[in-house]
Amino acid sequence: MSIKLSSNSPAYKVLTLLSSLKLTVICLSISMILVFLNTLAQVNLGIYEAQNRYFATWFVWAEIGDGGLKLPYIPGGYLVGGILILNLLCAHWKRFSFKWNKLGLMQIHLGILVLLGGGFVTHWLSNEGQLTFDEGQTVQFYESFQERELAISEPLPEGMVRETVFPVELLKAGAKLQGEHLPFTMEILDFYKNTRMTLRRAMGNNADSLVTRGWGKRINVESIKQTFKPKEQNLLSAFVQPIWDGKPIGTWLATNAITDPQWFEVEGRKFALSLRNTRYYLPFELTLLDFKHDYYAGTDVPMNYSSDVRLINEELNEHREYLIYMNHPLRYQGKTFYQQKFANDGATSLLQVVENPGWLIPYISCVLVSIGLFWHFTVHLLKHVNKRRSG
Amino acid sequence: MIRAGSNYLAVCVVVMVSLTLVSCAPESTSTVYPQDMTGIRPSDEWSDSNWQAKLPTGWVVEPVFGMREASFRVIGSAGDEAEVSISRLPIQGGTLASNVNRWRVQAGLEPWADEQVISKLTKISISDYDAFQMEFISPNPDGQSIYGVILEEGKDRVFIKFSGTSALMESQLEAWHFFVENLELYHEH
Repeated sequence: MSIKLSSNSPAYKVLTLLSSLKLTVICLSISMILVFLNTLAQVNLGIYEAQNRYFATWFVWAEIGDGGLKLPYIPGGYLVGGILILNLLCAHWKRFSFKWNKLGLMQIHLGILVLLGGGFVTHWLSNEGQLTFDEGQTVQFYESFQERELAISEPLPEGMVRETVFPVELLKAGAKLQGEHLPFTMEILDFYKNTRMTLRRAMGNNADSLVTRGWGKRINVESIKQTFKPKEQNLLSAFVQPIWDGKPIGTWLATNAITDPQWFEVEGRKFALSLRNTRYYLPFELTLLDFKHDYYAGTDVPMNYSSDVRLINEELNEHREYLIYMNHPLRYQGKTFYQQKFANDGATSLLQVVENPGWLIPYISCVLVSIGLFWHFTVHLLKHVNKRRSG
Repeated sequence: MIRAGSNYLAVCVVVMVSLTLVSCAPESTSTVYPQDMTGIRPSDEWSDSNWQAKLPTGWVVEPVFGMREASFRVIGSAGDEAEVSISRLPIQGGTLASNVNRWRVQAGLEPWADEQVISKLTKISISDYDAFQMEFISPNPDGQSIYGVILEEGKDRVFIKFSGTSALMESQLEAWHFFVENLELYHEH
């Protein structure tokens, strides 16, 4: 099938614009600026937040004054990356036609497209977090380093639990959250991205609190500036109010500083709410059998630490034991478990878990580009040699 | 003139835009898991490294602050609240009689003579530890009533205190007995 476009048609103009080499140069220049700005921003914002503000966004926003006014001042990574993909595709449509001597060039471009696409796949589909367990403990989930969620858990018959989770991005003052299986609406009265908490009694200040139920009644919450320091954690706080039959049941304080679930009842059903690090459940269970840590003689410098774990996957009837130690992670079902650190004087082991379905894409891209380059230069070399011979 | 050999471009654009839109719209999810997988205990069971207990209906575990080892909150049908706490202090911090009388005074009752205290308390056993149980109902309807258990463990004295409005506390007497009867302490003698 082929489509012929008139040079005056809007579609032709759009495709001409999208396939322009100028656009490529502009996008690559903006990419360089983004990388530069992002590198500078990492000093104050840390890697994660800087990446979010410069790459995982359509535009980079500048805050004007203290009034919360934000204006975009440069395209973000989504926009630049997206346009570069379109630009490459359109350029092929407009400029290239298939010939054997151009196969290498097309393959190089395909490799670059795969690499760009792989970046998006990794960004959207990869997860990274921490699995924490004590000796003898069995766990079936790990928790994100950065992401948070409001979880509402409801015990069901036969030892099951239904978890309804709301990503923290939905927690905005005035938001009314509804879940398919929840008989109530969860209204967010207020939400702070970082807070300082003090015991009300200890402060001697028992001013009115929004909280009417749960342990939050005993806590004073004060909004403070978000921190981006790698060793500090933001203590998020949400004042939440389940509304059933048009009336509020009570107001709770949910915070990731205290993740103990708070129970309440609606229509005779029990629910537990907690604001926690986003959980990723595993289709298998890991038990920490033993944790060992050795120090260099006469120092407190760790030489080696290792976790002896048992992996049980009932579905596949697999029962295995692994020793996870530095530079020897456990790789299983697309997830990699690295020994990260330990706590409680060795009673608790912390594994870093990385799950990236797109991990192979950069390798595929490199192979495609390498073969493309080899083909392209070989064809040109042969052409040149033939020319010299015939000349 | 432009050649467009297939719908490849259109498909790529649609996929890219869709992925972008999906990534921009966080949504709630609802999933059912086995209870063991989530680590969420039934709301009527509680344990930590020292204690294990069955909780009466309506008792809610609270986070622990300061010197407390455990804390529970009880909410009455009228919305009034009572609190259960388990805390530990060195024995040198006061005699049994002084601690018992402190609670009596808090409940609005006259203190007992020191030598009478032990004889007026109910002696019970929690995980083979000798303990004293008491129930002080405030004479004032708006006052705070206190149920308590005091036991000695090594160099420490452990206080289990249940306090709240008299009306709520009276309705919780059976629950309090259930809690104390099912309480277990793991510490070695």
